[in-house]
Amino acid sequence: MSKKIGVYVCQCGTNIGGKVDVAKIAEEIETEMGDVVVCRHYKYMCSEPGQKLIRDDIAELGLDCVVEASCSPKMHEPTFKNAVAQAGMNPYMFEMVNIREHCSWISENPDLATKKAKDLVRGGIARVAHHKPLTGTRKPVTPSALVVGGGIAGITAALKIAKAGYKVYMVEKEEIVGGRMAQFDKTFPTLDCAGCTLTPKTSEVGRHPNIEILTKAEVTGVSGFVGNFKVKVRQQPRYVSEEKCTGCGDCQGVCPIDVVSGFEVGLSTRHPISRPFPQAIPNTFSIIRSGQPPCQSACPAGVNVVGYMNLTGMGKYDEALAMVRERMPFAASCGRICFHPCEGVCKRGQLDDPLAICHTKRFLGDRELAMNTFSHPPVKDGRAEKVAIVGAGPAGLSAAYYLALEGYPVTVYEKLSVAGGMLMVGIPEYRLPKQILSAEIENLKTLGVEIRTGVTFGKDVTFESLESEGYGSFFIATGLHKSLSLRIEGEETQGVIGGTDLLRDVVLEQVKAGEAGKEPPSPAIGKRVVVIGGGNVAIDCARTCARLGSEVVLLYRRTRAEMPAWDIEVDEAEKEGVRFEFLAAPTKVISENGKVTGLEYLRMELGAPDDSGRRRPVPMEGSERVMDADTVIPAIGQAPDTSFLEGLGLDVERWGTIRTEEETLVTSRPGVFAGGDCTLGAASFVEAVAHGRMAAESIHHYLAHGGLRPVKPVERSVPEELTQEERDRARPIQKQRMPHLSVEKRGGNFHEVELGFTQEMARAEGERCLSCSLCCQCGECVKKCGPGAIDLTETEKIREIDVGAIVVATGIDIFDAKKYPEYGFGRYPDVITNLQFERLCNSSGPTGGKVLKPSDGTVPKSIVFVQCVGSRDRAKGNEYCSKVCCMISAKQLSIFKHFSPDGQAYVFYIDNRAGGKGYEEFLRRAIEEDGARYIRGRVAKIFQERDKLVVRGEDSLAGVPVEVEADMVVLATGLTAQADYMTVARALNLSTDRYGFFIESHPKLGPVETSLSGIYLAGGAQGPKDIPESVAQGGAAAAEALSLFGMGEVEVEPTVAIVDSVRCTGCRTCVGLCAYTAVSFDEFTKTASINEALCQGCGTCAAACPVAAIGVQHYTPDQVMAQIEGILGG
Amino acid sequence: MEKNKGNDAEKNQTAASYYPGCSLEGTARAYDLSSRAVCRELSIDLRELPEWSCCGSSPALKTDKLLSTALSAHNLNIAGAQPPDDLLIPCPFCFRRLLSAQQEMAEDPELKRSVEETVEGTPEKAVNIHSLLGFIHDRVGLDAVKEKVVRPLAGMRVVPYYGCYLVKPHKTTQYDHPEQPVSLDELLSALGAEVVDWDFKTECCGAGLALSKTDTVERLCGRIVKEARWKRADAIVVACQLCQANLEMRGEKKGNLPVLYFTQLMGLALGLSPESLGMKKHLISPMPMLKAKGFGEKRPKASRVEVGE
Amino acid sequence: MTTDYEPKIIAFLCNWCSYVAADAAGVSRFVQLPNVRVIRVFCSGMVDPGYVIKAFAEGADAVLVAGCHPGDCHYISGNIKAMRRAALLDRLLTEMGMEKGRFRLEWIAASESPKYAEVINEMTRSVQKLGPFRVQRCAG
Repeated sequence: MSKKIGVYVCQCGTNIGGKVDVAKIAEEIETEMGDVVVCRHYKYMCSEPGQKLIRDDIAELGLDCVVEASCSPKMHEPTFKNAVAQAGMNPYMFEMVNIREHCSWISENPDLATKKAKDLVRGGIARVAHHKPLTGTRKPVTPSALVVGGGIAGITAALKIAKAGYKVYMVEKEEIVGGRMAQFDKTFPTLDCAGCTLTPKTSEVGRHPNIEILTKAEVTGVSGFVGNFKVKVRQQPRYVSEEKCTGCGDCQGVCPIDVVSGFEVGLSTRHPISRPFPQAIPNTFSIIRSGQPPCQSACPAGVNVVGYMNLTGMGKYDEALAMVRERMPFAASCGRICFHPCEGVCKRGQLDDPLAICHTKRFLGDRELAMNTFSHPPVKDGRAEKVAIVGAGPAGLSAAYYLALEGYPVTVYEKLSVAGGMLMVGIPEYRLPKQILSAEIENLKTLGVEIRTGVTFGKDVTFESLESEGYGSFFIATGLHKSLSLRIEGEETQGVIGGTDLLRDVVLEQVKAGEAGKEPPSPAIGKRVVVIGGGNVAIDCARTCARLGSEVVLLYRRTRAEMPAWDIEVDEAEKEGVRFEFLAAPTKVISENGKVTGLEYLRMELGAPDDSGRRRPVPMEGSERVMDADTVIPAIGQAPDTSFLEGLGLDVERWGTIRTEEETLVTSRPGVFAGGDCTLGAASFVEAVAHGRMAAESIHHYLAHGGLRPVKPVERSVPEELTQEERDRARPIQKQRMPHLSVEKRGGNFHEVELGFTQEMARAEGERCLSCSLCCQCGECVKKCGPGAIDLTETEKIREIDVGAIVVATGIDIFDAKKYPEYGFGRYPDVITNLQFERLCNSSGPTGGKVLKPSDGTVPKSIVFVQCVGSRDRAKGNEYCSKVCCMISAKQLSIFKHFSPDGQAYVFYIDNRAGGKGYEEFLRRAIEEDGARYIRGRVAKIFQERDKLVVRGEDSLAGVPVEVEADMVVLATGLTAQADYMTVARALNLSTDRYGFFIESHPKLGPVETSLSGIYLAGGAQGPKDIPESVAQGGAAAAEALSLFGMGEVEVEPTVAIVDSVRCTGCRTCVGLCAYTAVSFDEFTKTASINEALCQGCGTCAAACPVAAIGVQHYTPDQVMAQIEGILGG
Repeated sequence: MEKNKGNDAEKNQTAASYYPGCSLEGTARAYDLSSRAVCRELSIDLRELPEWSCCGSSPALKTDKLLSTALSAHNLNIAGAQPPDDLLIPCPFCFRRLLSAQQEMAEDPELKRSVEETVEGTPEKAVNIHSLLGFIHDRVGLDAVKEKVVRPLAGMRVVPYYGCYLVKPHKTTQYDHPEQPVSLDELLSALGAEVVDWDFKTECCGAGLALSKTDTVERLCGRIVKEARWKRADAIVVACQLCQANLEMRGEKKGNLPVLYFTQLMGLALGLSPESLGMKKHLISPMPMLKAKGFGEKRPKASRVEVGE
Repeated sequence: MTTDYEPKIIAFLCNWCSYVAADAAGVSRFVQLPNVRVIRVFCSGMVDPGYVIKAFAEGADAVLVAGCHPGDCHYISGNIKAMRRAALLDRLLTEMGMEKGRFRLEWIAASESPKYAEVINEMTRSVQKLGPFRVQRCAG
């Protein structure tokens, strides 16, 4: 059966009627289209008489559906839906056609415009015939609001909603609420102080029982719909408890870091722990930290480098060492042999040279050894459970250290006659003097750690024997001590000595001799030594033999570029007379009557890169050569002593290393943990220490609580790029160079080569630290804080909040005056922005409210104000007018005049825009009473002549170039959208204009609504505005929220997907497509089914359905198809 | 990266075409002399364009675009016929004019056609046009220059003055910063001079108005020289003979502040004698200042000195 | 090429970005050629390839589908689905012998009203050049 359709075409005064011949359309439609029983046109359909036309027709002609052709549905669809509803028609039987924005306003040719409009109307008619009456479901409203942004607009909205008795969550990005207004001094046109008007509001917000403030927080996402939003909020820690902090400020005195203060707009510095101003809300202190610094992230042991470097810079060496020791017990040794990945990533490296972190650490360790007074954190109360550690290498000893601190009785079993593992027997004296290492090991023993050397685990003692002795847990850290074999002929000849074996023997001899107090016998190496390999061990062997008086050749199959050994080591070896044979690989050890006489080797050339990224060496056929040698030292790597490991009955990896779980180091045997080289393969000292500490934590957790320790969350890392602010902050100090022992003095002895930093050098390095993490977590404030309010271990929180309404009041930013290089902002200290000027006037600002030149602190005689910096300028800035700058400058110059009555102010302006109550009068006063000289014209250039700033511009009224000498120049920088507007827009699904301001639902009728019902705008986030306007919008947004809460219920549009279960073949194409998991497969009916609560009605599923079994109600295929036919049918 | 190039250029003798332009043959002999001398020291083999003509700067530029472009094109054709790919031009006006001509013809085929009809020929190859300063700074490279310095200009306070055509319009020259140029500053400090930062680097000297509107030029130049003296500079260093002439002749009379070509100071630093650099050809003689700073006639036996390390 | 020939173009605009841009273009009075007929959809991901085919079958000379920029979809990723479909559809249409440029997918944010007007005019002109759309049907 055909439907009765009423069609109404609006003239919208001349907006439509002026271009589109609506009468013609109405007439033709009525005659051409069968279902249309009536088609009228009227001047203003949206007016009451217009709506009445429709209502009456529905009543009198019994219309089934209505088509309205007028403005955009975004404007008046609700109006007309209401109208038809009042007449008893289901609002979904209505269709709106947009012939204004999409037709009359944009077309030139009236005939074509009319034709277009008619096509669109025909489409609407064809479509509406397929409409079905629909009713939305009603959902209750969560009566609580989220206010994003704690500026004056947000504060106003929050207070109004809270006072009405509803819960408000205020999410603020900064540490305090108050926003821009908190930075201002006085406000126009009354010149009353911003603080005096704002702070009562902020404190009210802080006090109000219905308002919960979330500082340092950002909205990361929102789901749900009007009245029922779920908001995700990420909150950075304040590190200072709002409950405990008394605001005494003792913490500030001890904070070593100074960074540029954002609140003071760069006019002064602040400590990472601070409070922007005394009346700030929250009134407690807080700490800013940009994340984990790269050095700490890069350190396998996670040592807080920035912390101890800054403490060193302060001359607090004991505190610095204590900080190192939290994660690295062997400062002196580590400072000598660590491969310091921290220095590779140090951000100061982007400026000049990275910090000499490792050498500084060594200084701290040496200093303690020199003073011979060791300090450790207090040992916790003794615990019963005994722990056995196998292997007295760095991993084992570190574990022992941290377990001892936890109060465990620890015994370390070591196979060799000395403790220290590879540190002791793998690294030559000249790199790590034995007595340094021994001293650090002795230091451990003072904590009650027992080390039993010469005990072989698995032979002398076993798991069983020790368990019977009452050991509750084990840590296996036996390292790698077997040299990898070359697999070449003659390798077992006498005179072939494994690299690690050689180093070990040398050391053990030295130790033995040392104890006996006589010279060590020279080990069994000859005059001509060939070392094979390119790693640090190979270099160690070469340098060792050189010291023992042999002539040494080092054979390496690749070139120097590919050598894994550190450059510094290779350089030193070269200095000490080691000869290098690159691109050479051994093929055979030549011997006479059982003794080595030479080595046959092949020349190599570099081929394609292998999976290690280094080019693979390929032998050159027939390039065999022989070199004389009486000792051959293969140093191509270490291997685990598999025979031993198999004996333990623990699962092992393919390479024969022990299998452990990465986070906890637990092995296949309960209570047994393993770490260091015997799990990692040949790794570094610092990694071993990291494992030791990790094991200690795991073992403590295992013994104290049973089970495995939870894995801690990782802190976000600081941005990699060096910022300008950091460059400015960097103290101009040269990198300190490590003094070396001269080469002549090295022969025939094992004296240490690197001589170490002096106290001055270490301190200088400490002062070079940029503290790129802002807070360096040195812990000084924690020590100082009486009430114990500071907790540096806090981590960021993710919160999920349920609200019914959202007010977005994220505010504005200030235009970056650096985009006008000719104005010299950032080049001349006395060229400042008007926001900086606010701080100069503000009694809590850097000058205590005195208007003084930043350059020399004197009172300026003349100030030039430059208007429209970044505003009304298509070429360089933004096209729009920032609206407030004219008044701000007028205000600021009269403040200046009141401060120094004989001063002179000039203003270069384009127009004076003083629209607002009392504004024009105020501006007049500035000109007439304060005698400001207003010059109409843009400024071309600001430059320095002698000691004066010269402002060169034009007087466009007089038509002449002018130059004004100034002591200070204030740039009236415009207002811009927040730099991070896009993240907010994405999180909340808001649309923005091309400047980044959020778009309101209608420029006149919906100034605070958005296209998303339930989300409202307030303040500068929607566009530049002054305080009264922001306050007004805050109130308006609150009213929107409150009316929503007042309704108590919202109707959820019925425009959700529905499945025609008859057509559905159950192919499940749709299921995977839904971004809201609203579509599922019903195993019983074998068809798709929709969860209406989840469905957002996007129709992606419908579009994908191969049999058109899914459609979004009110957007069904037949409706759209009909509309297409209708439009193209004309 | 430019620097690396520089090093290569420095190691082996590089050849480059050379266009002195009319002023360097007349009033600005000193600029020509010192430019050639310095290039010799930097082992740049200058091949002066045979039969070169006027570049087409004013007055032709003002009166007849085709004529002025054709004049440039004529010279570009000569350069195109020589082996070197690079053409070095000390005079900023010639530099700018030839560069513009090259660009305008590239953009406007119509112009190109009529010009090529006029000069009866097309260039065998498009040469890379450099201002002398630009070539030394970017191609030779400061490191290479430092290595050649034997008499660092230690204790000489200089203010670099760029004028306009060397850097402006940026669209054409594509060289340095139009408002805050630094290349000359960097070069001079590489020579060991004490470079004073100031805001008059690109202030106009009045250029061609010297004869028609002398008072204007005197006002402009006077101001520039005053500022330089207030900065306690020993000399103003320029890269343009017109700036040089204006500042020297129409700057502050009493001041006697020398106005030198960067090539002259460079020559000194590379160990050449003031004489050979045309230091005696100035209206305001730099000799008293040079003597005072220890750069008198005789070249002392100076061993190579590392500077700026 | 005839410019007096007036092609018919169907534009499917997503409700959240492109339709807003189209409205804004109207409010700013950006003049557009009168050949485009807009159909509002919730999301570009809602546009069934069938709609596009239907439009051509009903005599449209070109079809435009416009939605939010990738990453800005009001429905998380509907526009990405649209993008995938468009690629396939475009191939299908080409195989049917349709010239390039008659079917287009564009990302037009709410803030890009000037871009919207440009796209409309530019597309209209190029379609005018192509002339009326006729599917080359293979014999039999």
